[in-house]
Amino acid sequence: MDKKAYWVARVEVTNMEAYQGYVAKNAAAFKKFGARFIVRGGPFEMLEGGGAKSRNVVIEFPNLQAARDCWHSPEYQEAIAARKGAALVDLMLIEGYDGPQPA
Amino acid sequence: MTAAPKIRPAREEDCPALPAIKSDAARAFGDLRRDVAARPVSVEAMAVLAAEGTLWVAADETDAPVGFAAATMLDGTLFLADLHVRPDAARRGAGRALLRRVIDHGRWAFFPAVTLLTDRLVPWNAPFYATEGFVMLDALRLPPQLAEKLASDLARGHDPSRRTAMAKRL
Repeated sequence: MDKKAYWVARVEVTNMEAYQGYVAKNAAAFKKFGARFIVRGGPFEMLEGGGAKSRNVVIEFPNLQAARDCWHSPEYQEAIAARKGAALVDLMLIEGYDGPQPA
Repeated sequence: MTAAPKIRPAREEDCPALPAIKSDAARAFGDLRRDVAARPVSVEAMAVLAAEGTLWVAADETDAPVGFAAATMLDGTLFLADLHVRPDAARRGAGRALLRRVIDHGRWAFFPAVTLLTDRLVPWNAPFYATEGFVMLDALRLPPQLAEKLASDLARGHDPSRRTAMAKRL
């Protein structure tokens, strides 16, 4: 079985109205690529470091390829176009780990 | 009847079951809605909302929908177009849980308010929404699209002295 892959996003919304358009549009792409929200906003604490953004999201994909294809899909690119200039976004694509864990 | 229904985002395959849930739920109104031509739920329109992420179902132990909430964008607010629970699954918190999911989504998507149209008097209508912080709006000062929806409800036979718009500021 493939390792899962994740989008880790930190977002600061600067234009709520325009950002709404993005939220309305991104579901189509997420659905197509089997995405699942692991973290969707929610209270958080910065335990180390700085540079926090107020919206933090972790989205799970079935594998690395799906996670990559989702971002590049016409559906997601259309959603991105809707949030242009409406948010500061850091988005990282990262593969999951399924090896041994601390005992 | 056991645990409270579980709330989850609707999938396309849930949609064909939704019109029957609405008509079953409508029976709980008895004679009150006798002269109202209910706005039908279109499976196609529901599938679009499922893809847009503004359709949720309350599912039973077998994951089959027993209730649903459908929301759209109206006047820049999140408009709760449908909230129905099948009578045999009612009174176990599914409606409230669905409503709270809609409110959560409204906050997440930066909507300034959730709006809806409902009956002033039926206990599981306006009085229920009031318990979640909704207030009635003045019918003469509604935003244009909501006013149009209200007018279309009245044209379908809803009693103008009972149909009301409500909103919850987020």
